[in-house]
Amino acid sequence: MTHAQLETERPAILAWAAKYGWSVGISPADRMIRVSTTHPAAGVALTGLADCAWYPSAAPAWQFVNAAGASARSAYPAPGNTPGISGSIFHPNGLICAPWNRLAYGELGGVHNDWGGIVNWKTAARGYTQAHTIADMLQALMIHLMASPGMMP
Amino acid sequence: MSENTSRQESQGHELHVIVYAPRDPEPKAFTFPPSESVGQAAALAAAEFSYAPSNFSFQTESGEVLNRDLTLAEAGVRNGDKLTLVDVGGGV
Repeated sequence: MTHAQLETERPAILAWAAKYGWSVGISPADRMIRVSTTHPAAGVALTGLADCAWYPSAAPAWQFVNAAGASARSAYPAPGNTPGISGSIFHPNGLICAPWNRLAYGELGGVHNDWGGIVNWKTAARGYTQAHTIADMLQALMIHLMASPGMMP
Repeated sequence: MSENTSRQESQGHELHVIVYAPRDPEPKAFTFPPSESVGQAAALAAAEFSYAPSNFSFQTESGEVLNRDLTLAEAGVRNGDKLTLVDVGGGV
């Protein structure tokens, strides 16, 4: 993530976080964004990290981490259903399965070999979740989190 | 504006709503006919916020994500409502 890109998006990110009560830390030095909130159904603290090293040329690498900083399956919300949304972005394997998460792409060990390369993230998987800015991604995370019944075991 | 007046407007006249989009700290005002579908109104609003075409709906202040197939009136949208644009595309 370039500093210019960060500065362009920073007001929207902070406004979104203030509106919904999420804690967001932006670290230009290591190009990381750290978000914290509470799982609405489980009441468990959630921490998400976005590695924005290649953003916006490629999607950020989003993951949830536990208190020790490990991206364990148990750090992820469980998938849930809500009216009007066809499926959860929370994969039972412990993955945010969305075209705006580069970790979902097969070339980086994800489950999708059918989306083209990670630089195609803004046109991949049309008809499914789309989010092209960090604030849009936070909104998508929140919408699917609202439908999550709890944490992964 | 009274509740009766607001309800009356939502049934027969244009609806004036405020729409927030995650990518823009500033909301925008829109006017829609109450017979407009939620999906179509959300798509129009999304275009104004420079979103690429996708699966948009509105989320109300109470957190409800509106059914895209309903009209705004059927979905209970009222004059003066504050709505947030949301992409309701599912995960894959």
